[in-house]
Amino acid sequence: MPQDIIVDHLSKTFRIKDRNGVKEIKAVRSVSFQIEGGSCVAFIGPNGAGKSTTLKMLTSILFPSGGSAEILGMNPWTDRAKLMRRIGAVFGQRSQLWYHLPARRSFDLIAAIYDIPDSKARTWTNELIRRFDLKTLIDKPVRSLSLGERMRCEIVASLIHQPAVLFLDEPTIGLDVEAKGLIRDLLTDQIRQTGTTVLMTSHDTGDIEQLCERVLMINHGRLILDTTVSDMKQNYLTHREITVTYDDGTHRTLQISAAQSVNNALTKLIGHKTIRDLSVSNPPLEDIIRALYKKDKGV
Amino acid sequence: MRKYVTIMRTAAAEQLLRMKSLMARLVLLAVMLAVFNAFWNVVGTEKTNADISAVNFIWYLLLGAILQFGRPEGLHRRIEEDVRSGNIAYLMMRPVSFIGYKCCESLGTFCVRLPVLLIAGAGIISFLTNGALPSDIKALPVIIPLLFGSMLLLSLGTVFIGLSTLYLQDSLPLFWLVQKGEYILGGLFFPLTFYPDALFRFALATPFGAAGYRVTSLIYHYTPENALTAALTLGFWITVMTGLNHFLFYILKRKVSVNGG
Amino acid sequence: MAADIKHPHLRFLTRLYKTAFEQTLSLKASFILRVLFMIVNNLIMLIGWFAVFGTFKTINGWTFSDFMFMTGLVVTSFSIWSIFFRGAGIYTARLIEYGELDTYLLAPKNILLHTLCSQTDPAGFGDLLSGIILLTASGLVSFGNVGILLFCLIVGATLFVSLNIFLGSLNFYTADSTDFGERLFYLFLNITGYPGCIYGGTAKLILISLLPAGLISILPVEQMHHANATTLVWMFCIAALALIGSVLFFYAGLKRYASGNKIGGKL
Repeated sequence: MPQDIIVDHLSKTFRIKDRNGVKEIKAVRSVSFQIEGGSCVAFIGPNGAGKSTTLKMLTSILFPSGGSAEILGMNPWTDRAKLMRRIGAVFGQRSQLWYHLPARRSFDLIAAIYDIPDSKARTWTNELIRRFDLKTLIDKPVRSLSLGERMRCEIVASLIHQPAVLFLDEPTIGLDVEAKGLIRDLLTDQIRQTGTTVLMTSHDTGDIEQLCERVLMINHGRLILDTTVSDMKQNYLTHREITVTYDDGTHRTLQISAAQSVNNALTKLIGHKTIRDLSVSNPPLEDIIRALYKKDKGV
Repeated sequence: MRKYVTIMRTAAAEQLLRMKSLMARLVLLAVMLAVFNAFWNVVGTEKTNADISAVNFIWYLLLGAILQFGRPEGLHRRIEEDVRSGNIAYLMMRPVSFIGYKCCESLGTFCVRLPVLLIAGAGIISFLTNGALPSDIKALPVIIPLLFGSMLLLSLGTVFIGLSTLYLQDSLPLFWLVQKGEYILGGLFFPLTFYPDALFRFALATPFGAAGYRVTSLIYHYTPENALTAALTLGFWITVMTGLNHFLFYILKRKVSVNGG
Repeated sequence: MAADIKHPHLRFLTRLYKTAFEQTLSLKASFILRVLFMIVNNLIMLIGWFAVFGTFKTINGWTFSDFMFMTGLVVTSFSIWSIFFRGAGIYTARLIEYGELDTYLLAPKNILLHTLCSQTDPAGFGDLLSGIILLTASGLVSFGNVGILLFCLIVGATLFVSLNIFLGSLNFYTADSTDFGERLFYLFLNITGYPGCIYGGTAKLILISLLPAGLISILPVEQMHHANATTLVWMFCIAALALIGSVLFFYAGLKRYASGNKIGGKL
């Protein structure tokens, strides 16, 4: 398989003027990695780690301060117009849909933006509408859709021109559990069926576990981990947290190892009280990063 | 009461930090005064029933311009957004009157902008007219407090527009009309004496005339009676607009709670 | 129909306009309200000036009909901007401020054209209507000078669009200049709100060159009465310069955006 994305010592420094003069913020520091065609890679890290900045550089929105990158054999900053036709992007907090119009109108416009003939665009869009189950949503104004429904439309909007590489920035941000699950399932199918190369950022370990085979972790602008998801799970997702809320309003949290079954823990937690609510969660990403960072320093 | 003073102080402090945008306003003021001056140079020589000298004319317009540039921008737009997003339901829960809050914000802003605009404007005018002063410059200590009254009335009008979003879906068109009302009927555009008598009387009977011409014309037409009439009409319209706003707000409150916020 | 157009850029532009108009029309009540109120708004202003002209009869040789023509020209050129190129100006400024230009940067189309044509303001239709009424009612337009009128309209619209491209791009250079840009725009509008005949000497010179509001509010009325080739060429050159200058200003600024002189909400 060829390498679809090659990143070599990429850096980005922002200069911010404030009262005390010009301050430099090194958002990305010499990051290097390669991504094979057809694979799905997660790009994770805490807030302000440099994920979005890297993604914006690779999508040619930002110009790097140093280093180089190549996507599908093209330079993102000199072959912009050509590259744009081959890549797609969803930025979770930016919309490419027209707010007061049905999403279908936006899809039509996008077909014209990418110069896709109408007959071809219609066939493919209808296929996407079927896959993402948008039939009942497509003719409603976007403003009346729920966040999850809108995100499904956003993803379809970025797939209309059949990109070979797809960048997803926080595609499940702000969604409830059900909507998250749906989007994950749809993306999994989509990637499997089309063989699109995907680089995605997320705060949610659930997204990563289901969608990706490889993880890149970035912190303070540096790449601190490049490993497979199964490796990360084995080494860092070592425990889960079970939190129960009792009828009297009190909470109790128990940590169990990943191998342990939930059964035993529950028996312990039930005791003689009635449980009103229960949640099982992976340790937050921040915990894993903290553990990793400690290890990183220790080496 | 103390909290309203604090709101005004906060708004004033914010203005002090945004000197750059105030400077932009000064450039605009200078050009406007130059335009007024050019206008007067052309028409001033002609015989009219307007009965006003060049210096009086341009000072009168300066006070109008101060009312225009002295208030916070986009107040109606921000209220509109609050109403539309339902944010207003949260603002209602605060132990502060929403209307009072917005008005204090305006007045606080005006506290900072008025002196800057007045001093700069006086400087520009004396440059344009070789240092001449208007007939009743001594009335300034009376006019300044009245200008605050005008600002309060204008702000109440703006709040009214913002709150009317509830019925209008879009408050911008109403804002245009009110703006034009201030311009033409308030005399921010030309002294009302330029108009035919019927229009002059009509303008004086509107709240625009009360906030604008009645106060700003004191700079060349000051008599204690004129000042008193200006103060009383301002008071009257402020009371009416406060009442109207509270009524609209009351309806809004009921509507919001019916919709469950 | 848009579907039949083969040329890729034309197809893109027609569909972009179609989408923008549909978005505007989707809020029907607001659309109608804005169109109607804008007409009323323009009329009220005219009534004020009618009263003033009633007092003075003529102002430096201009009659009320000259003033009507000038207002008609201003309003109509303005409407060309607000109907077809409304994306220039505050809209672009906001896109830059909130980092939303990203979406446009991701599309493989000319970014300036894409942003310019992606907005339309319903009030523009009100302006267009009242503008046409004013131009007709002024009585200044005849078969002989309708060509001059069209030329002046193109110059006027070019100036409004250029000014807005320029003001919208300011945010590339200094953050938080949206307010400043808006003020400057109103300044330009304010100047074009007064009869052009009041400016003489240096003021007139500035207004037909550096701050070319006079190309809309002073020269056209003169040209409608007595056309003069030199003046028309001058108008053309200034308008062309303004457009070229503002486009260059936009692209120079865009480079700064791309080089990340502003940080968005997220890193």
